[in-house]
Amino acid sequence: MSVISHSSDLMRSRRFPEGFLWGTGTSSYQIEGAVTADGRGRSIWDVFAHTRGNVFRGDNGDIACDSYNRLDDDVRIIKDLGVGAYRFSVAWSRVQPTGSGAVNQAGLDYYRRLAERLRENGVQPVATVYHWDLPQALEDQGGWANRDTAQRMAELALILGAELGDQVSMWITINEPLQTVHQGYRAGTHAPGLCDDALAAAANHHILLGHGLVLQALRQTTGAGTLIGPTMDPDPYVALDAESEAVADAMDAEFNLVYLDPVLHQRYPEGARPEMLPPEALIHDGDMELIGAPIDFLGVNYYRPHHIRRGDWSDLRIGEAAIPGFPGFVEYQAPEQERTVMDWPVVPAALRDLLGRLHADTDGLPLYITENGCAADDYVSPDGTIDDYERIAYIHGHLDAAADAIADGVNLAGYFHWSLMDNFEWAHGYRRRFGLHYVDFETGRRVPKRSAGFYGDVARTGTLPSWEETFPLDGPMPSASTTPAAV
Amino acid sequence: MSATDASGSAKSVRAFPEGFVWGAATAAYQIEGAATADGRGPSVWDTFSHTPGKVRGGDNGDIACDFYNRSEEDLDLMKSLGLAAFRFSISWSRVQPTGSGAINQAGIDFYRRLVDGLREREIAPAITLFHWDLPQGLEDAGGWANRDTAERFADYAQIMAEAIGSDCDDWMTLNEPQVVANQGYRLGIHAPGVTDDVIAAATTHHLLLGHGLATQRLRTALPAAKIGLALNLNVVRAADSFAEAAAVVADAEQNRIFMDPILHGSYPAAARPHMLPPESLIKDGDMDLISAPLDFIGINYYAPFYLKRADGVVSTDRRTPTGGGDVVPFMPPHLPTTAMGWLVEPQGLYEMLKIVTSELSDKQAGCRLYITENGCAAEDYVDPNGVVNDIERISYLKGHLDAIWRAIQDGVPLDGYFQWSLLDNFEWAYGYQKRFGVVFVDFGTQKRTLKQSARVYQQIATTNELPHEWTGEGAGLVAGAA
Repeated sequence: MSVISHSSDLMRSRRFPEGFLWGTGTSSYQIEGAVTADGRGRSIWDVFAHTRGNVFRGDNGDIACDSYNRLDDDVRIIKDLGVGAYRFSVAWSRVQPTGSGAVNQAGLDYYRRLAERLRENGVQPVATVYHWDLPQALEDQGGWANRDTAQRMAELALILGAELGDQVSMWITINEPLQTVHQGYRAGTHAPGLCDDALAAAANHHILLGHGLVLQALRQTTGAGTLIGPTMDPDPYVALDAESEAVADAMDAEFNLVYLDPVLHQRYPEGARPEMLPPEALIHDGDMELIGAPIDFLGVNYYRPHHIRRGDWSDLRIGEAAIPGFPGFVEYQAPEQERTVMDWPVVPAALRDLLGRLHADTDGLPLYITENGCAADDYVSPDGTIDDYERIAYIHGHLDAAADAIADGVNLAGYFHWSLMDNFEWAHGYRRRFGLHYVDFETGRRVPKRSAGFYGDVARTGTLPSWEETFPLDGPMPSASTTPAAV
Repeated sequence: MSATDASGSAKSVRAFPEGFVWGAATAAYQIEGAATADGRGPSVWDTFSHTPGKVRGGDNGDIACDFYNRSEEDLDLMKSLGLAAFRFSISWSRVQPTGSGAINQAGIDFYRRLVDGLREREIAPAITLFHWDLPQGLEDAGGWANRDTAERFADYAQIMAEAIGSDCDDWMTLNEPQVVANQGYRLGIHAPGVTDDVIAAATTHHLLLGHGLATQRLRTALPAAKIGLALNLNVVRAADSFAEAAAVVADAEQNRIFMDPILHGSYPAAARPHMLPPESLIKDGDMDLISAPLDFIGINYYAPFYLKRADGVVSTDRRTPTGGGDVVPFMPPHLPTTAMGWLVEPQGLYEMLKIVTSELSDKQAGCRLYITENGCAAEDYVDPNGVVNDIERISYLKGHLDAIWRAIQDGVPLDGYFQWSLLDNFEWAYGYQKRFGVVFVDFGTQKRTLKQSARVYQQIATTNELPHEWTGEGAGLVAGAA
């Protein structure tokens, strides 16, 4: 166990504000399985994952955590964990198998039952309308490159608002539009697996338009006091030398501001290369007002920053990777930089900076960390425990940074750990375990990791123990008092 | 190579010599568990793994694969895989709880039952006497830094020869003595966790002496047995001309420091002086004992080492083969790596086999070779269908079995191959995090699941030839997504 970088002294515990919302999250395709059950239609992730070569070891979400059939198990581990909120997403093709038209009542019932069970157990349901699993039928008509898809998503939101609005009082419109646009349509590493800059630029606008229309639809169908906002994943881009600052700024524009600026300021950013922006012809009158309509909060998914420096592409140093589109510049990770098994650097301080920036950019709008977490090489040891000290250290560091941000004056209202349980990690298949609970995928058994006990204690008490309490010097055991039971 | 070339498909069959041994390997502390059962004494690995901060996650071998209590089930598994041989090690402190003196009969009985179980299934036992778990009682008296440990090791070898020798033909004295001296006594990242160059240099000689003395006792007790040891050998490559001199030094300190005394009866001159045992420790006759003729040399091969000029970044990392300085380890970007971060380069195995073969004409004339370990850690998991689709391991296996097949064609006297490992197990300082098995172990339930690689290996062991679908370039393998 190496000590991660820390912004505060090791003896200090941190108390979070009264009413701070503690949660954990998942998404539909990553956990539900049951892909043909009860009338569910195919999504782009079904098709993508079943296409050879797209996913590690050929994995797919056909079974995943079988959450569709284990709703009660899921609710029990959420309750036992001790969190106040659970973020899940709706599989559009369960509710509308072809993405439009008639409702599949069985699919809708699953989410209604989930929301009800959560509330019965004192857990606030938080629903994400779109977390990447577009109905394949809509992709067949152009997917997010087709403006009509945004309208279809608004129809879905009307259905969800009308059917679930009495149970769900916090909604996330879209999750990480960057990943849909960039990995889905530009790089081809996520569904639908396209590599086309023009399609990606169109998808960029249409998914944001979808956000605006969903926001409008949910406003119409849900009651006063319902909180609605999008979730973005702005990775910090940090220049390590003066010459790289322009590149870091350009990457910030192309990967972050193209999503943030329309929502926060009703405009696309300057500083992005033209091919990274939607063409004017796609931006209709009124679009930017819809996209930039007032939101109740901004959801922020934070995992890692990127460090940029000058580098010779023909003679890369250890830790350097060329940045496509920016010749002579590289992303750099120092050999001593702590990183997760995703090879992502662990830099909690960058979360504090990011939250400060977003606080300023939103004029103090409530911010929620809707995802933060790490994959680790977890395993059940012979005594039956999963001793994921790396994850506890990651959580500790990032909650410490979040507490710093709050102390700085940031209006941070909640934190959702990603994820409730190990699940189908997209192109990484089941290899990458992000959960607070270990999932034995063959049996579906969920076993709380040591981090579940640690995070649950934080959520219940609203207090982050000091580093020294968490990791006593005489051993690797953290001070977490209880680890909930397996199901 | 094509299955349908003009001379007929038979040409594309890559068969191994009749009687080639296909086996799998394990080590006692990594699989047995039952650390206090039936009178077993503590070993240095019990002490080390129970010391906070030494092993990932605080893991230890108390339970491991519980092989001590599940050997019948695992023997059936080996049989189902078609293995001709099983390489395992004896836990010295099961047999002699303090490393010397009285025998613990229950410990002997366990290995007796194990050997009987193997024989019943027509699987040949291949025994390693020392695979790192020195009795703590001997460590307390100085461990391998104490010359007396070599004498105690010889006594223990004789005990085992008398106890089970009638049914065991293949014996290895030591496993990877270089790792014991370097990781255990110089770097302190393995048991006993000592960090002392002087002590490490002494252990180098005493380990080799232990090998020599044990060999002598085994020869006397078991005239018909085949005796050898397992050396970890890595090809060392200079990635630029600047690093060539350092590569010679690294080869001496990594490989030749144990290989040369066995093959040539002398320590390598290229090693830096502090790495070598001082003359005063080398008694008359020691080098003759150490270089006494063996029946086989076992080679454990995993990865090559590359060295490169440091470009101004001076490493102070003592773990580097050069001990730090202006040459640093290098990871060629074109080579894949395993979950250990080790480079995958099967050609290195081919070359190492050729190197060792070319030096067998001296003290070890007529000696045969085995691959006593080869394998890789991968990020394995049981998927929702119950399958462990370890294509990276199959790819590793494919490359390395191709390398040994080529080496045999080119005259290398290779008689067998032992896959490391049969089971996922306690991977030393990495705890249970790194999975090397062809069989997945769910340590919480002790359930065993055959990985896809086990099925491939079973086919090879059963047919004694490489799969035909491996003939074409990349055929039969699915690349994972980036």
